[in-house]
Amino acid sequence: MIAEFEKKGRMVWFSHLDLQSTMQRALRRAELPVRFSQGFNPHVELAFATALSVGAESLCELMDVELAEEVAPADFLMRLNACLPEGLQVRRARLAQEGEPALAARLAEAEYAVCVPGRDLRAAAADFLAAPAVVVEKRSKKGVKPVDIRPLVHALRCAFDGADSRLEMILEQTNAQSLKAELLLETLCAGARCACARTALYARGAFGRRVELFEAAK
Amino acid sequence: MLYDAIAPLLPSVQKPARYTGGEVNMAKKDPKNVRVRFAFCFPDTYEVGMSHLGMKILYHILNKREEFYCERVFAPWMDMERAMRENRIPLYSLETFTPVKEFDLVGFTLQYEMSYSNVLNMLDLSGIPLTWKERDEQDAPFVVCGGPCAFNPEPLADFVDLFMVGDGEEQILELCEHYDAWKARGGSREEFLLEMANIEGNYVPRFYEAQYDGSGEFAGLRRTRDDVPERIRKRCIADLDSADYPDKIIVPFTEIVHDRVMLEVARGCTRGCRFCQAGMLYRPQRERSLARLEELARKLLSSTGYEEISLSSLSTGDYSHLPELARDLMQEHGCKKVALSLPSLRIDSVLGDTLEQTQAVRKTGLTFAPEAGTQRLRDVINKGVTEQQLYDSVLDAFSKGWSGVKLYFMIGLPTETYEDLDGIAHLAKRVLDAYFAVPKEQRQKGLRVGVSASSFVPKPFTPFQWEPQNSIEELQEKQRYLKEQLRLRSVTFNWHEPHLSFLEAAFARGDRRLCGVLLQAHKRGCRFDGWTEAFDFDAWMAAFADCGLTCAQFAQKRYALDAPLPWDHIDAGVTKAFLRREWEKALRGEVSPDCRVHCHGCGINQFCKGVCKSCE
Ligand code: SF4
Ligand code: SF4
Repeated sequence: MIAEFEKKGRMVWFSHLDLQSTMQRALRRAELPVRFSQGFNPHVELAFATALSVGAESLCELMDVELAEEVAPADFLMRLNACLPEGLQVRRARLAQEGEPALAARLAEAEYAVCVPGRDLRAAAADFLAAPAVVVEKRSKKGVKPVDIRPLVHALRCAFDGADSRLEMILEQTNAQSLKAELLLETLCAGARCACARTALYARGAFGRRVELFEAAK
Repeated sequence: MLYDAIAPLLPSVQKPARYTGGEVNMAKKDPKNVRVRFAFCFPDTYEVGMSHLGMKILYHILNKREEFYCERVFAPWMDMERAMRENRIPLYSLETFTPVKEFDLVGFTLQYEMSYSNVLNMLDLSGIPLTWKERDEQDAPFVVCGGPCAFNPEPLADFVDLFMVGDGEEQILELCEHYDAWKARGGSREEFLLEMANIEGNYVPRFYEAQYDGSGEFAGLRRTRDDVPERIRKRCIADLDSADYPDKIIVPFTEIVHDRVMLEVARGCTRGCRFCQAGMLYRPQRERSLARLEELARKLLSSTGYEEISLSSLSTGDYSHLPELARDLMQEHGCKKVALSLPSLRIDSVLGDTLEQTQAVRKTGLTFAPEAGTQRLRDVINKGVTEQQLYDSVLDAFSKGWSGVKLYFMIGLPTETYEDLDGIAHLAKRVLDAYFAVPKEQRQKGLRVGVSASSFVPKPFTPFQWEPQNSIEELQEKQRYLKEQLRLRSVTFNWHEPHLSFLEAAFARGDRRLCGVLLQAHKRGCRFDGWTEAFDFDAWMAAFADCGLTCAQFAQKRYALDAPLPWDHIDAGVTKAFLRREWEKALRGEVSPDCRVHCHGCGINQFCKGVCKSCE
């Protein structure tokens, strides 16, 4: 079963690890016919498309739940939502197809909406897009290293309403390489306090077209 | 709402989910529609507090009543505290983000002495005056305390309006009911407290006064009016089966210390170890029935979705239906991959059968607590465990595939000599022997023996309540010696810094003079004393000096057998005569067998009218 869920409000403050156990326990409470892994510490077979930064909202997180019996998606959604807290609710669900590859393997891009209060970032965004390369220090487990993030930004739009800037951005998000929205924002306007929400996850469809990962079964 | 002010602070603090609530099974009510609001404060972090069984029970009991709303409050970690103070955000509840100051009743559970500085700090963060005198003037919320440390309430007497002593299930409801009625009719604060003081188990320190002798030493506590009881009898729930127990508990998002369903199989313990305060305070031993526990397990697993269940009590291995319970739980829930963990296995409990069943699902650590190294000293402390029993148990465990064992000891016990320390090393070697006695192809590789030594702290209501604690230097010397003796392959030695135990000893047996010390320590920034990274020993010593006192004069005090003790006004059910008999037996090295074998007349059976099943 492929399910899209939101993570917002008070629910943004726990980590990806916490999300895993929270979902597992919700699936157990809902008494859905989950499958368990083999081995020493059996757990519910559950895979997420990607992790989300602590503090960020999302309307479009995806998970793949392995079920031992068939359940209608509408039923799944209703039963699981009854066992999930406010702010962590399934928005839609569909059956996974036979031989469908893992969500994480097909994930290509993520889209974000960000509001930066009290700043006009239109010029900064335009400069960024115009630059041939933008090298920033990227922190990883292995330490800090310079990375050109320009090619990882696939779309960047900025609107300004006289008070706040609203940005929409589509960023590279694959197993091999990804750009966090926070890092791009830090590059555009260092030290800004802003609310960031993930709004879509995309796969690459036929002819390199952008398709929603939830829809893309193949 | 306060949440909007808190959210911007969260990206820069560790583990922000500690501060935002909203968990599954959290009680949701409209504060406008309730009559009494109770802030249940745990003076430690979210992870520690959320693991505490007593809090889960009382939260459930209060929130079952529509007209009461119990909300949780934990001590913010130091990074969050700083952020809150900088932004003038008061301490708030996780359910509704209401400032603690707006509650009717603010309750703290006192699980260990070293959380007292957090009690003051949490009041301070709430903007609630620390002492009851100042609170009277400002009509601030009442501050009430319960938990095991309420059995010697004196070090907190200036700060607390009401202590609730003993099992809290009934008491906490009575408190809210009386508060509700008092608020409705509108009386004075003193009137309310006077009414409470006359209910069993309640202690209102303002109605009592401490006496000191010519040299300034504690000379007894006296009531200042004759319409309050002279002695405060602890509350005792006679029948656990009919006592309320949660059928759903909050499931935190973020991992806590005990992240599982906890079934309290029994309260109390029949073994009578002479250093053990819990064993004395929670007498008599009472058990829940098999049927009740299985029903609770079923409900709790389905309401939480937890994948693990543990059986909790002081001595779970002694629960009379343990093998049946373990078997039934595994049969019923094993298919859903629910693991059963049995934390406090004892050497002489029914290991065999149960152990195999635990292992079938999930291996948990194997721990043994001989507490002392020689038979002589184990007889003194009445730890009825022999070397042979330990050997046989670990041999059995090793042959069943276990390879890690933890051994717990105490140093600084009364009458201890260096021979007893040698005994600790000897027992560790015997465990190694047991491992190598198992044929190579049968045993697991990777033997690990953890030996840990904590420092003995004399506690009220134990036969050792009159005993002094070893000095820090003595304890350090013993630790050094043990470390040398335990330089063995596969053995790791852990010890605790004795400084904290030193302070703990002062607060465990101290009197009202410690209120001043605590206040000074708070002013000097002490908090989270139980956490190494926060503990500031020097600040504490300075706080004692500020008051013209020393920590040693309390920790290392030998109380005379006939001297008044600061906790004499609390009646825990065990008589002083019994404790004294046990103390004399200890010095003679005489054991008192388990209560299930022989009744030693501790007094609890007269106190709770025939509730002690063991002495039948
Ligand atoms: S077995 Fe001994 S140490 Fe453990 S709870 Fe019972 S009396 Fe206390
Ligand atoms: S009354 Fe007797 S059997 Fe019961 S707890 Fe006391 S000593 Fe043990």
